Amino acid sequence: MFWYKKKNQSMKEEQSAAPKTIQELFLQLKDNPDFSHYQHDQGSFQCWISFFNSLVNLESVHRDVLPFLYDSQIHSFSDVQERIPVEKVSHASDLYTIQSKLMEGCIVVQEKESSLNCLIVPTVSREGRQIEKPEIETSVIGPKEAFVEAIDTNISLLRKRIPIPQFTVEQFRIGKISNTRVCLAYIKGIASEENVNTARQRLQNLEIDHLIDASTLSQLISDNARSPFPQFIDTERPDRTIAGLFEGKITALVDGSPSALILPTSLIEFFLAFDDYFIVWHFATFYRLMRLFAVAFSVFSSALYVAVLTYHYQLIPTDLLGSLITSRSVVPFSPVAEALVLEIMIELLREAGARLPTKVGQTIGIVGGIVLGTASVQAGLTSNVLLIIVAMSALAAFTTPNYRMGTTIRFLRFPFILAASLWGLLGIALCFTFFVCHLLRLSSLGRPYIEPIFPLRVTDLKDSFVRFPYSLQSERPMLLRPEDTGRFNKKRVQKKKGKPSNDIDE
Amino acid sequence: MENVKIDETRQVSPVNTLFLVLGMQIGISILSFQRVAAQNSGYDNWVSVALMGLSTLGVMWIVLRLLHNEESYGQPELFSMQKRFFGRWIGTLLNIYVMSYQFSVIVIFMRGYIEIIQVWIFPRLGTLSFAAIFSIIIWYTVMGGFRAITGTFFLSFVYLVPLHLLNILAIGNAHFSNLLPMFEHSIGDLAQTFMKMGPCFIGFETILYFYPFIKRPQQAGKWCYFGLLTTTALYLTLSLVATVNFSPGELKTEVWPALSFWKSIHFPLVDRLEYIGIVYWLCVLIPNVSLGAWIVSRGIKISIPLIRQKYALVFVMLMITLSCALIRDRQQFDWISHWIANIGLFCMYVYIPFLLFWQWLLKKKGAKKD
Repeated sequence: MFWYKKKNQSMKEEQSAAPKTIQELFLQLKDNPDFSHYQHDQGSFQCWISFFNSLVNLESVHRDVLPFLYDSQIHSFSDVQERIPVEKVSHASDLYTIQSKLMEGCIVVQEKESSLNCLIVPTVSREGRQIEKPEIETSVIGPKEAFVEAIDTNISLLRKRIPIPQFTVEQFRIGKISNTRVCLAYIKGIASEENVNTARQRLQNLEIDHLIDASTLSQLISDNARSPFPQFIDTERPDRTIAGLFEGKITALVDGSPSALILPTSLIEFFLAFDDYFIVWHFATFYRLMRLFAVAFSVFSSALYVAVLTYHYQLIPTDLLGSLITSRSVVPFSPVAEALVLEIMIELLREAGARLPTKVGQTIGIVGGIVLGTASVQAGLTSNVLLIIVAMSALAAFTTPNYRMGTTIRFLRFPFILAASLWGLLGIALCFTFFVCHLLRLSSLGRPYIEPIFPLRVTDLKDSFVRFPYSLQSERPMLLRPEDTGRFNKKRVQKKKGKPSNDIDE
Repeated sequence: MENVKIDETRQVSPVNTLFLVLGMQIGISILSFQRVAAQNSGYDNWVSVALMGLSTLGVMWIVLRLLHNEESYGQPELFSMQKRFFGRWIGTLLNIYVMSYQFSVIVIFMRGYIEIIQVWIFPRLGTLSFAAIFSIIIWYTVMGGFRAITGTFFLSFVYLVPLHLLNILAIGNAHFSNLLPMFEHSIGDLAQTFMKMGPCFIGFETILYFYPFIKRPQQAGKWCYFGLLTTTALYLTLSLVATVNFSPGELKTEVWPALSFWKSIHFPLVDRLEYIGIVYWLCVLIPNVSLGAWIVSRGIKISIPLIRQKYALVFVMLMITLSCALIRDRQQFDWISHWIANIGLFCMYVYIPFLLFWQWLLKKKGAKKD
């Protein structure tokens, strides 16, 4: 959809529409109500001024630019450049540069209307949202800043927290039409040069007409675009991004997108909430394990219900089987139809809740959860047990901290249910094996996707299923092959704490 | 013969040889070997099992020696080695022979698993259709390359840990007196059991094929021996569990003693554990068959360099599916697996030492020429 399949053809179209001379350009723009193009002929210096009212910072134009043009001391271009108190005033004589600067929000000053020799005065307006609290990745404790749409603000949020010259930001222009600014940020000396090169290469090879959001970019540059699993984390938290940068990861920021991409990422990181780092490690580990259990439950529970009730009722002890059968006795459908109907109902509720405004969304939750649930059991459409299982697995899926991974987990249930209805437990095992093989084959920026598990790296296990105390995590993750592997000197930390004395009290 | 070094991104670290060796040795026979072992030497079968396990260490030493010596001459793997040792034509013939052996091992394994499913879970399951589904998953895994296959081996090791821990539950109703009196059987009986134990322990010689894919191969040796020792310990435990749980007469009639043992275990939420065990066994099947298919397809690629491995793989998977469907009943299955076991034993104890000897001869000859 985004891609230009016939590359040459589109280039031709672009060329025919593009203005050939500067007069043509202005003629094209003149009809726009927000475009100012007029001759300034007061004072000793005469020139043509053109800019977009909607793009420039009007206040600054009236305060810092226009008054100085009336100055009688100005006779030539170079005088203007000296007098105007705006940084980075530059010359340009190439139509493409002039056009793009104009579109960015600069003022173009010409001596004659047809002259290509122009002065570019940058007065770009910085309109945008204020920095607010994170909405998707909320946390009870910890920093409360979230990225906004303006890329410069986002970079400043990062740079404030990494006050060293090694923090490097590289800029790219992506999108043939949109010309979106995309920045790669990393810390030199920590991030592996190989990873940076791969990321740079992927950005340079992109062929697309417009880029709106970081999530689009993540789909475009991921290693396997056909996989249902997201391969890069997108986060709206500057603190999380920073943590990634300090580990040796790379961040991609897209102008106009309030989320940053962290690359590369391994599977386990999608299940780590950033809160885990703000609470002591015992609780962090406990909640992490609970979340992983929730994922397993969410994927397998409905499928197991279908498998057991369709084929393997011998598997359940007789006492339990009795209550299961009584609950199912009035239901006229097969277990798989029953499960699919309920699962789809839950998905509908979620979708409706996401599309509706917040106030109405809450009502939907009550209607769906209580009214539909109890009514469908009373009407004999579903069994009690399945209702509990489906509701719990839906709940469990929402504990996944990353929204995109949560979507994947909820989607995964359906192939499992179908496989279970075809071959019972064996079907679930087949489906599981297939997805495991798929995960084994995946990579993120060329790094193995399920890394601390395979290839087995014991040091990386310290921050995967469990979160070890910080004092034990003296090494950066091996996944990224960082240039500087040590976070801190382990021995010095132990010394500072003071070695425990040999006796109980001394 | 081309002497290309395998790219490091396609290699696996030496630890993985542990999982590869262990995974290849654990096959379908682990569920049924106790009956075979008890036929000749009754409750003394564990002696043969232990001896067999220890003898594999010796064979592994020869295999590693062979591969290590070969590193200075060419690609250290069996296909290239045979070509170098015996010339192009005889080498290729031997390669075809080795490939067909490996191929039949996979087919037997897959057919054996399908048989278990047919007996225990789905009696009317079609062999052909099910083999086809397996083949598709295995094709998908092998397409991921050797690293992905090693990954499945490692994961199968992880999955199997809880299943093997179940053996602890055997202590509850064990009759340890079944083991006594010890050493009552003759050496002849024990030797026969030894021969019959072959198919359980065969599989570790596959290192002959994937050796170039191991990083720092000189460090892999110790992991190989660890793997063999783990397998030996595992088989020993299982044979002891079977001996103390079943009476000798009962054991001779149980086709799958391990499954019957699982059947006797009950949990509050799970009544028939063997169902889960059988389904679980898929995670042993997939890596084994994947590596087998990888070896055969790689063999085809090395023998006929024109064919690319991914096309050879499709052919191999098709042939496996068809061959599985061709084996109709238990008699055919037993007959084939009996022959395969004998060929495997011959390869391990006669052919591989012979290769080492031949390598030494060639080296002598080369030294004389210089």
